Amino acid sequence: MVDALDQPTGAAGGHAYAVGVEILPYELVAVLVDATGRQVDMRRWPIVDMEIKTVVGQIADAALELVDTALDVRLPDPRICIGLQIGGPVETDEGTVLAYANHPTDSMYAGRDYHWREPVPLASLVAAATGCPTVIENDGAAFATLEQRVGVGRETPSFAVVLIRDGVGGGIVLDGRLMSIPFEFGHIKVRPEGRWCVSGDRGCIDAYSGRRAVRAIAGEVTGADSDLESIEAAIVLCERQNAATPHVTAAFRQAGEAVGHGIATVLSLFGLSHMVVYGPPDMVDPATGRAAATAFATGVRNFPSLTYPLFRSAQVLIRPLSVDQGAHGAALVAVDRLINVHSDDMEGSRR
Amino acid sequence: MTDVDQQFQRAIGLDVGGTKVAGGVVNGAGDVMERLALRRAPGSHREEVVEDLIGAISELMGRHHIDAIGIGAAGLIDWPEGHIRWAPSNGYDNLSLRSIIEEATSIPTIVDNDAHVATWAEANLWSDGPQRHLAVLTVGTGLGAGLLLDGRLYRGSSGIGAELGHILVDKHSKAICSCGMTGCLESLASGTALGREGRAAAQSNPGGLLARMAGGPQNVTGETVYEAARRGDTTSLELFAQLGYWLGVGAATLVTLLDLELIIVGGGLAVAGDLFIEPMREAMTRHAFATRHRTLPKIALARLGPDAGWIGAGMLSLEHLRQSRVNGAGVATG
Repeated sequence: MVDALDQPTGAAGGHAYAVGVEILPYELVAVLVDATGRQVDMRRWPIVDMEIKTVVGQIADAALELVDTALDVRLPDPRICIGLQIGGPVETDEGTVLAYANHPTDSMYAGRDYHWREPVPLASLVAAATGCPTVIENDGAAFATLEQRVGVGRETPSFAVVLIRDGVGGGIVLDGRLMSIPFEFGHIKVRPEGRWCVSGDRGCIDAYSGRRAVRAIAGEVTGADSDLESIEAAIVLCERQNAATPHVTAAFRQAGEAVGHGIATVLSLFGLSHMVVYGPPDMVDPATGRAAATAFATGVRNFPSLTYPLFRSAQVLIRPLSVDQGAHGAALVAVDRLINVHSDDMEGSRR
Repeated sequence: MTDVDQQFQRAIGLDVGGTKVAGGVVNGAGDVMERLALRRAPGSHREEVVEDLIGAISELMGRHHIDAIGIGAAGLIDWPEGHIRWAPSNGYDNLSLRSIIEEATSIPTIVDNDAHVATWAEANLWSDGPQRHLAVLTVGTGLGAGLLLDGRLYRGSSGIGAELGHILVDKHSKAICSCGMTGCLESLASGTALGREGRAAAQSNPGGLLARMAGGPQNVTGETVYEAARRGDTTSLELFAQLGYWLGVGAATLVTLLDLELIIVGGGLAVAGDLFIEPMREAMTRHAFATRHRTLPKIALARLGPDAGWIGAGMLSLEHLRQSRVNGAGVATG
């Protein structure tokens, strides 16, 4: 665990700031927030390759550029700290990414596979490159932190977040504390002997509901030998009015139903009053007008029938993913852990 | 609490069930100073329940110096207020039990859900030392669960805590649960489920051991299945294996979400643990996520049996007293 920032003094308003960085495949998104969590600036950069040395170097460059431009500050500076988040298992105490990989069928990165097979002490590598205290979380926990500070966390001390991207993840806050547990929402079993997911699990939400799974299922139901080229192609198919349309639309609805089943499990188990689902707008948000999103949301909203009656009135909010939310969440993790330090914050591992 | 406090502070612990009140006096280390059992009629009125409790407390206070009182009760209970909102097995609701007992005794009191206090006892008196991340499954007529997460009891926003028994595990099941749903865990892994499946098995084999032991298929209960299994009846053994399978599916969900260190199985069916623990372990291993990359929790039978509730209530009351003193008037978190 890294030390909290010294009491801030001097320029940049005399206040502490946090840089939040979301590490995505071949892309970084970074935001700068002040100690209240207010976003000051946001940038995104492509990553040339996913070699660890390259990623660390580009994170350092991104942080340097952001604070230089927004605050006229050069790193290292005692007022600046960094929060990282990544879509893989992390050991938060050690600041280590335990594994990070894409899957061959994540076709938007086709031919650009990467695989961090050994644990990577990413927080200490970034701290060494920037001179700034650095913490790391996984993506689900970062989104849960975002919700805790600027979302449903203002209404309730206990809630969970579901994050839909290529796969499905999540984070949970109980009694006001971000839980140091894996919260593998995507691997809740919804059909014990069902479809295989890429992690070798069977019948879990991840086998039905992420971009990767929906694309594969759409490929299967349309008779294609391989996956559709992209999730966007599947989304378009829902609006073509051809023979494949009802089948592909059903795949999106099935994806939503699997998420709804998982929501019902979490609501029944923890008695939560709120859950939040983040996902690609065209896939999950009916406000986009996309048929795929309407089908998905319809599936999700089936959750009350699968939920213990006492908790059926819980609010489930579907939020479209935007570019900066993940990095903002990472920055808020840094604000919580390195600026506004709470004595009972939990540390540990998150997978 | 120092070791000395643990030895010398005393609490009354009481466990208010549907048909009885169990209780006694413990110290902070969980040592039993005195044990008493008081039976009462099911569905007693609230006045009778309160009278029973105050009578038991007065009796124990006459023989011990008491520092705190802890009560575990079935139902929906606001924490830390100790207000029983709903107790379906006891026929009363909206009972501010904590304030009633404190007014009557002038002794700091806690009132908590019975599964929570039992979890507290099992976690703190575990043979390998106190545990911080575990679930206690109470398999009896129904299926209850208590969670201790990072050393804290999880009570949820409603005080009802973890309703593991009511997560949906088999969408295609026709088994109806007491909650009105079909296919939830309790409908497949409980004494009620065992009896139902036993009756179905006996009906399809009226000349079999189960039907003969019960005097007819319609009379088969969970107990009949247990007795038949003990005599080596393969159908009954298979029913226990099936119960273990579904418990394992439920345990797998806990492992996937919570990465627990220990799962303790208690309740009335724990006496048959040898008949279902292994199938439970196999199913948990099969259905939990990333089993090759994690240490799966140990599944073990509860140590304290029916004493867990009242001992845990007493211990929790002393822990609450300790934390209240540390935090001033603050609310303890145990």
